[in-house]
Amino acid sequence: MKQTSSSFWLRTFTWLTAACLGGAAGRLAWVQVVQPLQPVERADITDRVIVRHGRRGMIRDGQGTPLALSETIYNLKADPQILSNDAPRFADAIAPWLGLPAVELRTLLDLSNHIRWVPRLMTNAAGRLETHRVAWTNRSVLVKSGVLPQDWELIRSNLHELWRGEQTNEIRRLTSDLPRRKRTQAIRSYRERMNQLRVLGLTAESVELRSYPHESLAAHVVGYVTNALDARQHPLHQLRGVMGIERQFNEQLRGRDGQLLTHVTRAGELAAERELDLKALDGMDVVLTLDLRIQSIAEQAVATGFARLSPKSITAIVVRPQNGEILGLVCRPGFVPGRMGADSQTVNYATRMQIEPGSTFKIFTYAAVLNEGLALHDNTEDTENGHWARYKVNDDHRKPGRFSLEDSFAHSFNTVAAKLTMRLPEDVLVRYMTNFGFGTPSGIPLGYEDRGRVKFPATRGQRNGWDGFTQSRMAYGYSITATPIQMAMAVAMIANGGTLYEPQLVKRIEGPGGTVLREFYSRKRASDLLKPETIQTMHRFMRRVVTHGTGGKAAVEDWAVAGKTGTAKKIPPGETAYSNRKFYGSFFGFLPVEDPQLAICVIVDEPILADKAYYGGAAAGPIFADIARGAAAYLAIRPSPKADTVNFSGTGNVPPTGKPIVAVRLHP
Amino acid sequence: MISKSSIGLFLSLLGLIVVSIWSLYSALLLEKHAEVLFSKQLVAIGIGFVGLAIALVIDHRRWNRPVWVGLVWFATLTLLVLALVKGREINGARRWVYGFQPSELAKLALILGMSWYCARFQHRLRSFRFGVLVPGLLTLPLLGLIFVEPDRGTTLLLAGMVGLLLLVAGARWQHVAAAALLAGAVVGTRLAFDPLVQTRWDAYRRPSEHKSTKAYQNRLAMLALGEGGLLGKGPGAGTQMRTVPEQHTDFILSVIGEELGLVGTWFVVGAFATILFCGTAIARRAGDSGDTFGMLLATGVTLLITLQAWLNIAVVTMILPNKGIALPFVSRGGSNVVVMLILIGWLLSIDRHTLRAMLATRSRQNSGKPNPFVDREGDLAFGRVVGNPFNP
Repeated sequence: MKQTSSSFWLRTFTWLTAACLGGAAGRLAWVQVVQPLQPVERADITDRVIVRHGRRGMIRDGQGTPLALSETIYNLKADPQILSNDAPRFADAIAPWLGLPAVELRTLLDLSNHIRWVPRLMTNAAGRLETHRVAWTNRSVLVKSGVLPQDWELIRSNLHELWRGEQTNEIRRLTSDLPRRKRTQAIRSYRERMNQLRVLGLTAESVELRSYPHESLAAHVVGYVTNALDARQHPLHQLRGVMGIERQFNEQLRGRDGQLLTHVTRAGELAAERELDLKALDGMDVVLTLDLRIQSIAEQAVATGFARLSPKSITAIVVRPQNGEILGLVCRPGFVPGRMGADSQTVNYATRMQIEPGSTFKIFTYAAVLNEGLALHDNTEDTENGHWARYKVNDDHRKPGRFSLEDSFAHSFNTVAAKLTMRLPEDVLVRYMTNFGFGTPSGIPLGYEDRGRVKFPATRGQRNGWDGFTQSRMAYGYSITATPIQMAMAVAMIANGGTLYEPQLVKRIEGPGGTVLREFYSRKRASDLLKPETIQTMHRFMRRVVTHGTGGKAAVEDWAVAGKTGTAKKIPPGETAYSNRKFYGSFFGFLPVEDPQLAICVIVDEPILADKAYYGGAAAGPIFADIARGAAAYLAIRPSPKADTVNFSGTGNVPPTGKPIVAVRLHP
Repeated sequence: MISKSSIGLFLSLLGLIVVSIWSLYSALLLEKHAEVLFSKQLVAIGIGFVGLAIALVIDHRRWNRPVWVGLVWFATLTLLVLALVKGREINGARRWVYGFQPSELAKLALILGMSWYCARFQHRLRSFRFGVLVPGLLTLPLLGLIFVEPDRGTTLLLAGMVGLLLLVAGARWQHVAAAALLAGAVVGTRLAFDPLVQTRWDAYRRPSEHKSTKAYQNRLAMLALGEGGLLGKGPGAGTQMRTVPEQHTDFILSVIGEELGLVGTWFVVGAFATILFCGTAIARRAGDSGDTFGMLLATGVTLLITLQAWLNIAVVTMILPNKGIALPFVSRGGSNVVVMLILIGWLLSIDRHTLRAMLATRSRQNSGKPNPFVDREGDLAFGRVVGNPFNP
């Protein structure tokens, strides 16, 4: 019995299990060969990736005023093919919401206006090629662009309610004489159609609009954007900075796109089955050191100057000498970032114009000579009547006799500057110039920047290298090139007592809600470049330029301005010799001289020649004065006690008023 | 002495192992740390074969002692508790401890324990107390611990196997059926409210509604099987199966199905069928030679392996809802393959020792004196049996 039972169960289970395995084998045959599951079935459930766009951050000035900001707007589009026969009715319904005339909208949405018959070669039944016309329909008709988000929300909710109330009674009435089944069918199809119109009749395409509320103001700093392209030159839904801060801080400004990876069926999104739900991240805000008021004061002054001088360009830079902050940076002609036209000038001359600065460079050569102790501030020097044959130095305003260094500087005698500079050993001169920041990029975060060229004595004999006249010419700003920003920072160095700063343009980067994500600090490139006595002397000399010298037009009523004029001959592009008709007129200076708060550089490229307005003092001086006056008033700088000694009647090129001093030369 | 059953068993085993290594290689190609997983599996197979050899060499009747049974039982219990307490939670279950799955050891322990128990109390199995109650109480701790891991599929499998063993050993089917009903009712109510079980039930009942969610794995596996067709795409050419999550463990059959087609999957089924018939033949032979413990052990091992294989195939082909049961010898998983190989070792050992005993008996009957060739004190030298020893 026991044996029987156990062998019975054993046999039973064996065969049962065998049957199970056989069933599994059959099932495998079924699912693998007889009726395999077709992957086509995936079609009714689709994976959909919805990209959410992060908004680009703002660019703001130091006070928080936006210079560039992004807003989302909508372009409303309609598909005439979907609207088809309902187009007139639909147009009438939505016209008042869009604020468009209904008649125009009807025409716009009419399908027949959007069909284009395109010829296409086809083979006919006989195997011959024939031209057939094929209908192409524009299925994305722009109805209205630039719709604000709140307006779109309103329109959408209106659309959702469209014909809701009148629907039921209307269909009942229309279908009353149909048999019951057909009636139900008709009602259902009508409702589906209405829903289709509500959802697909009018669609919105969101567009990120980058707007620059102050238009051309600080355009060269802010830069502009274009649509980013992918590798196949197709536009991505993203903006990319092309220039200026927009470009340099593109990574910080641009938002991060979010992504929603989800499954969509005919019934709608399977929200519970979202696989990836990444929120979009808005970009960060970049806060500049620029002050919009100072910037606009500078722009105003430059615009006035532009109208007066009709030059090729004017560049003006306002720097805070204490920390190297750029408060204003103007290039004119400029451009409006949102609207680029043929006359748009996007080159930032502040960093991309290498020029021979001319007499303004005497600030630095005098400083070097004085700092080396090779001349004393009360020395005198012979002007050689404006012609020093040995080094082919010429002055266009000749004045015989000995003059103090202060007057020589104030009247910008090239001969004196050359004589002084020749006292310096070559390498010392070059070391001073490189220490002052010439020949190396200033470090302003505006992209590529010209370095300027400082010739080194070691290049003697090379083509365009150091030659016998290089040193004497460097004395008054030739044989060396520099960019306006380099010169502005060097002037700021003289103003602040010998510290060369890297120009600071970005103050901080802010996240949403104004949280400071990164703070930028002023960076010193070099400090204690000059002795305090030298600084003092230079301040006095530069003050003298405005009070008694060539820079009278740069004077300002309440603040004591110190500076230096410069009138540099230009080698026009494509020519090899200095032109006698094309000049750079410039004025570099700072104020107030007793406690410098602002350093300003103005460079005018090719001012008009009439009335000798091309001289630095006459061309750039008034622009400097306008900027200085406005900015100093805006910043509420304490007025200088001795500002009233200025000679306001100066023409900018006055002959020396002081008598020639005849004195013993102390140092040969 | 090697019988045809042993040869069939061993050849099926080797075939499955070869298919396993090849398909795992293919399935793991794109996984992270593929080489680590793959070499771990190879090492596990190696360990398993060492275990198989040891189990083969040791006479299975030596295990028929309360001390060994108790030791294995307590060790399993301890490991199960440790897994619950200390184990790392992987995919919502605490099944692993020290890189080992105690529930696999529980299979071994339960088969051993039940075989010992049924052989020891065979004469009292027809009573309710000894037929159902005591074995129920003995197995409950292990089953319960596996259940709360949670590993419902294995619990079901093991409970079913215990029931089958009891029936084979001679318990009354009414008793077993009553106990099964009771347990089914209790566990069924417990499971009915389990979200995971509900999910899997949904996926099973209405796969087309949940094809991208609950039935995602199943559906992709079915797609992979369907892609394979009759002859498959060829080794390494599968693409669908790459998208099947965890295809190298429970859904390895979808890999085989896609790359080797119906031929490959039928080979697997055939191999398990071979194991089934050879295993039950061994069990019957052991029973015939009066070795109840060996018979029960062989029955348990055979039924466990084949039923587990069937459950796995049924899940992959969506005959049954998803459970999480590995395909023996083929799926990736070290503990599984080691324990399964040891179980096969037992089967071979039972066959070998049964055969030896029978031969010895017969030779004694024939000659009246011990045969020095087959009936030595020590182990058996390899020799070849000519003719069928059971039917001379």
